[in-house]
Amino acid sequence: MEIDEIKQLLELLKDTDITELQIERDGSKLKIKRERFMSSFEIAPHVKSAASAAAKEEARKAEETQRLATITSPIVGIFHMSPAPEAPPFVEFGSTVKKGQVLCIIEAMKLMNEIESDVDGVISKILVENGQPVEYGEPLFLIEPT
Amino acid sequence: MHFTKETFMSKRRTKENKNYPSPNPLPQVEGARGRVEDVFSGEKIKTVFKGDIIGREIIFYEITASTNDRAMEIGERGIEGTIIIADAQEHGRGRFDREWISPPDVNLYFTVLLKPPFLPKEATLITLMAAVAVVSAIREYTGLNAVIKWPNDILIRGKKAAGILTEMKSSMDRIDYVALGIGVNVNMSLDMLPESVSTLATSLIIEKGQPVNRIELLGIILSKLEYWYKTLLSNERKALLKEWLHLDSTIGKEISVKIQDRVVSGTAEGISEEGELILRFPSGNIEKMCAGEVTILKN
Repeated sequence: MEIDEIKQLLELLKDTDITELQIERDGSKLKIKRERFMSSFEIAPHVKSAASAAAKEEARKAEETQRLATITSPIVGIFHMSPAPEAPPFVEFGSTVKKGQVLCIIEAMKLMNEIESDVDGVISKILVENGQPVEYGEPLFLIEPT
Repeated sequence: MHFTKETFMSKRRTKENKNYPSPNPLPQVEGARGRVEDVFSGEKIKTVFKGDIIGREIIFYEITASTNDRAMEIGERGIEGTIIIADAQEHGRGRFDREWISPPDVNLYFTVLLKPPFLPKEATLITLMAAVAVVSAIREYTGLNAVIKWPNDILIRGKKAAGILTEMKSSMDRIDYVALGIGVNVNMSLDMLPESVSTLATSLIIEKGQPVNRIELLGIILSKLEYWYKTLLSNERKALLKEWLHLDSTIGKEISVKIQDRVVSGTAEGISEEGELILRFPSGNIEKMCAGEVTILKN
């Protein structure tokens, strides 16, 4: 067995979990043995539990998203919480809204797009700050249906 | 795709020669102190223009709170192309509830109810379309050099002569309706303008020095709206953008744009297919703006 061949073999093993390898060919014998690498699990067991907590949070969020109605922006534009700068906002956290009620205005090219609620419910989260730009399809509100 | 003035320069020259050689002769109207005897009546208004779409129904009010309010009440139940027009408005309004001065007998205040079959995100060109219709009608009928400032301000000698308020109700993938509100300062004299806006606003009579027939001007605006709305419906957005550039005074200029508390400046490079303003910063970076108040710094 050539020395280059052995080098290549060692290189290949680097990124694997293999701890022991034995090759017999044409009467020659090669045995490679190495200490097992410690995996990230063994180094930091708390990372694993944090990961599972994140997964749980994810699941909880998914469930919440399923339960909550999401209002998204149909156009790219600027998010306005109120009809005029000094006027009170259309809705606030905890506001009860009816289907068809105006929640905000998205402005683009001076076209004022009134966004309506598509459910009866309570505003459980406002996801964008007043005056901020929003993208097409960006979530604006979460509403807890009643 | 970007649209710039340069791209259409040759087209522009021929258009100017062909379409705007001299103003149409003005109608004979008797006026005193800016008042014209082209009294609005339901009958007169209803025969002003009837297109295949625009003006299929015309609703006239001597006075109403706001024609956009009336249009939004009708909303989805209304026929597409319905015009709501008033001789005066009690609470004429612009964007963000700013007041729109709306005295009787002198100006145009009307709203067109539209129900375009396209997606909400494709509706932004409606505001540009309205500016094109109004500016070209003013140029054609009065010979005044009205221009557009991005995206839909209508100016004569740098002062506001008309305003557009477009309000849309939509869900994610469908437009319920668009209330396209248009106000034109026609025969409002200088002394009818509040001091607070007298340096910012003007009217056709102030600029022309003689009264302008409101009803005939309305007819021309509506026919232009019909033409350009049909153009949009047949998906020829580029033709509209070309005409917008032809009437625009923003592109190619050094400008500043104020959005909320942020002010940015650079060169107005062109407009996107959605009507966004393409701004080039001194650094060479480019930003597409969908909102903001434009100030022209240098011609």
